[in-house]
Amino acid sequence: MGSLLKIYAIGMLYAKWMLKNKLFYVYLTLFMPFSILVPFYLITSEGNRPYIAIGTIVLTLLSNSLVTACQDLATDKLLKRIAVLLSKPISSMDYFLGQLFSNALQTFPAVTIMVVVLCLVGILQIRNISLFIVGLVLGWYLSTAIGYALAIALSSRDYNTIVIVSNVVSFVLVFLAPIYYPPTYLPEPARVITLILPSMHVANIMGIASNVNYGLNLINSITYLLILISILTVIIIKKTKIKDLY
Amino acid sequence: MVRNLWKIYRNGVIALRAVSFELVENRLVILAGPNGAGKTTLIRIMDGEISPTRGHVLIDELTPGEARLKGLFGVMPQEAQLHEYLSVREYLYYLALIKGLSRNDAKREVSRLIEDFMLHEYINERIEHLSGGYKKRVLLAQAFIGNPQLLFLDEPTVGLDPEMRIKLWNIVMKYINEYRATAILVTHYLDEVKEYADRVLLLHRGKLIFDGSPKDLLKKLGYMYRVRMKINNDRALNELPIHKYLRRDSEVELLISNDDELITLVRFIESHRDYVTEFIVERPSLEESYMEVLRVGKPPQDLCDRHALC
Repeated sequence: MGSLLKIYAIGMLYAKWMLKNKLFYVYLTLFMPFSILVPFYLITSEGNRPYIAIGTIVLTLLSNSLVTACQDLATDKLLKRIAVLLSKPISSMDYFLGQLFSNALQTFPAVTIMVVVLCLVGILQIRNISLFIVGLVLGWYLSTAIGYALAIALSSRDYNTIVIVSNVVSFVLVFLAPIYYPPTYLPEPARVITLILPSMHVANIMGIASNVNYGLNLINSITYLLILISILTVIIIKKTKIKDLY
Repeated sequence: MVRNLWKIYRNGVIALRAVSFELVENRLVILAGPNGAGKTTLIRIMDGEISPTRGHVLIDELTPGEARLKGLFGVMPQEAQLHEYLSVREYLYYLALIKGLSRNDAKREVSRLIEDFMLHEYINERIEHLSGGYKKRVLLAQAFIGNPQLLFLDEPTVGLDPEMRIKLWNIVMKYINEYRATAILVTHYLDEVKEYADRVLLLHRGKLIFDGSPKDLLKKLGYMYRVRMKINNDRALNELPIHKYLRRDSEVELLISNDDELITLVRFIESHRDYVTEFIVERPSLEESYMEVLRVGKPPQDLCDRHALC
């Protein structure tokens, strides 16, 4: 219970900013995803439109979770806010889970609204809601963990570098992987390379749940993501301390 | 216990050089030194924020990291900013939860801190709307959440008004006595805290050059009192019981090394009222002693012997 309260409190320290800046919250949860979705939808042939739907959901997950986790840590470093948290009895995992909770408050409303709208207009047809949620949760956890790990890896760099790199990484994960279009559009060697991108597998799980074919095996995708999640979680628990950031 | 602590940063700067000392509970310890002396580095190592290059810190047999996880610390960092979009109440409440308090205890703790640090007016105000002094109070208040055994306060009074400064020392002393806590206080205002402090640690260029009580530090000047007197006849000088003095026109300055000398001098003045027109007895400030120790600039031999540093 005590640990849950700590995680809640850490999450709220970050989420409150967004919750108090309602315009920005609306921008992140509604305007930004739809401003990407609509033009892509208009220029895409009807058969490929479900890919646009899955692609934008993955983009929302990554941009909200990966970039936010990474930039929150960078901001803490820049403003030296981390020094206050470091003096409190929290572990690196508590801090990470707090970030995860904060990202959930930002990500899930955006994704839920988008999924509902996409289903209502008939672009997305979810056939297995449980599997869709599994994909969503794995994507949310993984992108936050990648953002956190990225901030640790870049801890010796300045704030601007961390912000730029986190944006580049989220861009690579979404736009270099064949998520917004069928993987068959890519030549064979490039398609194999994109298999290492976790975003590809997140899209695949949500795609299988909603009849969008990315051509990958469900079990393989789930296994791959779980392995990545385990590795990153072990790194967060064992190998890094928040203080290593500074 | 701090033992043989070295900190060499990646850029080659040596921030601490073989610093060793021990602390006991229920004390207010001043950590002083010029800018760049290594004070903040020492605090950051002691609170587990950064690791030393060599040496170790033990707090009740625990490493700083272990002590932090047990909630033994309260830290007020020197330059840290707050989560400014939160209200004062929200900020302290969330930090109290992070400290491990239950919801109800956290609410009670926030009320206590609001009371102690006189933050009533701004309790629901966003921190970003507060003045610098009030932000400092909030930053200071969070260090006291959950009654920590060891407080690290890095220049806590900078930017505070005199009323709050006095209030702060009273809060710290009350806290130390009530909870048998120890506070390590980084400050440049030595004289402000000399009445409260039990011990002074003086760092210079990463070395501990003084470790003792404020009284011991005062002794480093070599005199206990400074007497300034105005004379109207040079005959008074010839008969002065103290032979070391500095003369500027009609004013004479004497440095008195003990109470007996002072009594002798006062008796002399009493018996030479015609020649001495005015006199003032001053106690030298702790800051003057500090400057003297810095001027000498190396660890006294007894400190070297105790810790095998030199």
